[in-house]
Amino acid sequence: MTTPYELVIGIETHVELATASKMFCGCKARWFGAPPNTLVCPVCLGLPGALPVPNRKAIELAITAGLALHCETPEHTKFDRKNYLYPDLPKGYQISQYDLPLSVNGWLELASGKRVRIRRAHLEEDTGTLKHGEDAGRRYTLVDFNRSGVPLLEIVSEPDMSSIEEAETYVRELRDILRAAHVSEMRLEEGAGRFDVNVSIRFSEDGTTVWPPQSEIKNLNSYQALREATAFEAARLWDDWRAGGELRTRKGKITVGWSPDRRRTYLQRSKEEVEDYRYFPEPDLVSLEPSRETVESLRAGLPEMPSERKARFVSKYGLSEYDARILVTETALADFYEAAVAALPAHPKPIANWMTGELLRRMREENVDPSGIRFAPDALAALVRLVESGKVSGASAKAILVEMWQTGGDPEAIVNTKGLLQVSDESAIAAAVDAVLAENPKAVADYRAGKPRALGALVGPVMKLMGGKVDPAVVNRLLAERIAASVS
Amino acid sequence: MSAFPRSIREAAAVLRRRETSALELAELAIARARADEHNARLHIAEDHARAQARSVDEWFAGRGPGGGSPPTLAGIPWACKDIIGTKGVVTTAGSRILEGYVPPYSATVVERLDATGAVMIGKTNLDEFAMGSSTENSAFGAVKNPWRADRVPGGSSGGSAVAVAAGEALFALGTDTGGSIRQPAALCGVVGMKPTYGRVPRWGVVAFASSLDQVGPFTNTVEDAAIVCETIFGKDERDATMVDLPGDQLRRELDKGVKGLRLGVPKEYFSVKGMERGVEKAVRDALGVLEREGATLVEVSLSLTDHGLAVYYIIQPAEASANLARYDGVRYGLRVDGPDLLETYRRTRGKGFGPEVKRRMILGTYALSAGYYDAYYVKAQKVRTLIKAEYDRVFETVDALVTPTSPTVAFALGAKVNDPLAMYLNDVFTLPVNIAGLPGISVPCGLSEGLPVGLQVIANSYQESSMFRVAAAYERATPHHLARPEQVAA
Repeated sequence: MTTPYELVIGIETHVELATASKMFCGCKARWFGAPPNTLVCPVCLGLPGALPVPNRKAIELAITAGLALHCETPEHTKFDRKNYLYPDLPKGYQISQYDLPLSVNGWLELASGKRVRIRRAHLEEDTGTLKHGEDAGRRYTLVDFNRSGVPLLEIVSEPDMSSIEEAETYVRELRDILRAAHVSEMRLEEGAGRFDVNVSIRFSEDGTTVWPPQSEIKNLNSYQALREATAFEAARLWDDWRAGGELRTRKGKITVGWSPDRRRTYLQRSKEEVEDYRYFPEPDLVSLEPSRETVESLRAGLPEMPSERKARFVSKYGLSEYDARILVTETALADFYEAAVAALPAHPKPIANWMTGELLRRMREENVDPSGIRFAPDALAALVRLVESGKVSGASAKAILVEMWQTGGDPEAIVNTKGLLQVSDESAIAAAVDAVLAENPKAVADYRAGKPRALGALVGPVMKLMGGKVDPAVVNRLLAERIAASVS
Repeated sequence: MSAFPRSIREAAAVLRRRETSALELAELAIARARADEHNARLHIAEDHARAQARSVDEWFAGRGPGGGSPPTLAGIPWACKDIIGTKGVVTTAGSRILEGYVPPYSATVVERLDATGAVMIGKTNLDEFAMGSSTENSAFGAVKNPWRADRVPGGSSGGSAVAVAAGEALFALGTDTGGSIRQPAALCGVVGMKPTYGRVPRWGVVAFASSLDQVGPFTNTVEDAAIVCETIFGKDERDATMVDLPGDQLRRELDKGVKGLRLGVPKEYFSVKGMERGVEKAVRDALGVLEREGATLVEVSLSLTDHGLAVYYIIQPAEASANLARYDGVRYGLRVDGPDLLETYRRTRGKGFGPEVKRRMILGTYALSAGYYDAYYVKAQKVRTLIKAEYDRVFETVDALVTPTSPTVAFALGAKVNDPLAMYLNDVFTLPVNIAGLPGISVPCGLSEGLPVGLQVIANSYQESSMFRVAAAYERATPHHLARPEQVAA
């Protein structure tokens, strides 16, 4: 898509950390789907007298995320209070980090090689959730505090993205990294990852560069919303400028929301209503000074990042960029792959093909994650070994995989019980070939008339006669040989 | 028994000799609380107290939880400032906005006292959210000083001070953010002690100014204060601002005397405008007593004393403005519905908070606002660091400081209600101690115009032991702690 303007995009990503308990209390952090207000205590309800105690694991995960994004971890950080009133915020302030965040000055390298700079990543607590309803014409709002106090990491990028595709790539790769580092599952469908997109347009007018103030699109929770909302808002800014609208005189940014139903943004806060959060250091907590030992041990514990692993899969196993990318998106899937390769080091590519093809298709169809695969990586390796050694045909192998998928059975056992061992007795195959040739004189004539592709139509019937337990290449060869023999 | 014991030690001895039961003692305390004419009580927890007393009597009879002999505080009736959360017992913080609020959990200090078998008789009146120095800012009416009914008891823990001074409880808990234990203790003629910041868990105590608040006891004697402190001191994992120190054996310090101790006398504490001559005389006499007991008095300078008030009235309202934001009518407490959310907030908070609370929230919000934050809050924090550093320097040369607790004796009810600055000035000797996070104790040191005067002993952080040493030596050397208001003595 070409536009008469350049896009400038920066993204704030809110990520729920994968801790067992909440940020400042012992309540369970896995709130999604729990009955309302069942995961609460005096702390996350903001009862009088309750005090926060920081969750060590959350701090470690936040530092880990920063390290995975090549950030520095300052020696002196602290928590601050961000003050505003809203019913889902029980204390009337959110404990967050203002001027001394846990991580600063990092970067994330996109597949294209472009680096998106990470300005900062800070730790805070999530709010509760509101549910609006109506009863006998009276509108009401209910508050659920299960999510209140869940640890959130806010990762702020510099405005380094210049297309919607790049923005989407950034958030997808960010998600891959955070999942690989076990920082967050970031299940978008459960609200565990939310994006605020800062978008502005830059263009040339009368020979000078014009860069009007941005819009911040709040709280996008899917890739689709991110794409559509950013595209809409950029186009709206351009149209507004061209029509001589408010953008021509506006000095500060505005905040907008995204309505997925109407597929348009709507104004939430204009620049005049910029909120003063009156940040000040949280007096209920002491300053947070991550020891260098802690930081270094977290750094040492960082797993290989998806982009590094992908590059290794390409160079070491000879996989295509595409296949490698699919495998590394999910750490558990890549682990499964490498375990299978370890069992059968001679055939990394066929293993990848089976995984990205048949296996992944079934996983998607049945919405199963790698932990739900009933057979072990060794079993997949055994299956590939059977195929590559010519003991079973590709067609049989698919049937074996189906059986493995459903029962978790061992491939060699399945081959034996189902009699799927490839027929290697060429005289048996030759008999089937002769029978098919006799039934298809036209195809034979076509082949002789110089249409080699006519032979292909005969392979299927032979395979069928043989119950699929033959190598199609052998059938092909025998067909050609028998036709040639019948002439001479 | 008919006479109310004069100290925890005396009551504990009587209980051990089985001359009276915990239940009898509780009934006596309940009766005295019901007869209170000073408006010191917001709630008398009769059933709660009787239940606690009965189980203590079981304990004395050898059927206690886990056996063993009951601790000193078992069966001792006490009163709790109504800003300290008590499970199942109304906790209002002296505010309409929390009227009828029953916490689902107890403050750590209450849990600890419960575990010793102390018997909580009820909740005491206070300035709303502890904001005040006279207990006239309570939403439930002013408290009167038992020494003279037309005088204030001091504040904000006025009800707790009166409960002990008038012989309605053997000790009481208060909170001290800028002097709210020591100043009313001085004005009511009892012992009041504010621990080092981080010594006593704040968990379950309704927050006023988080970096300044600390819970402490009101008692009849210095020894009683040490007994209560030994129970409430010590790390609680639920308060992240605490320092992990072993609990002090404070009673061991009491008999050590002051011989060889160097006591600092900050000259700025005696040159404050508005200092009453009678107060100064009583305190000077007290210094003489300590010198006769063997202490060396050293004049020291705390040149930043004047700035304490300014620093305090930035930091304290700033923190309070955030701490009180949670009272929005959504989850608990008062709610006055309006046509929309903003109006519900306005009406709820407009009706729920009194004028002093509103004044401080406006002050605090202003101090934290964009464009003012650096000039007020940040600067105040810098001066706070300087004040702390000045105390640190002084404590390199002295073991404790001895000062007046308040520049005046109990003033007339209504005298300063409409003059907040004059009211704030009454805390000029106590609030720097909170700013620096130090421990301080006020002990009775005689009368001026027939009203009690308090001597304040300040020690370095976590040096409560030397503070208790000085206070106990002074108490042994004088009869002032025995003085009681006439109606109580009668």
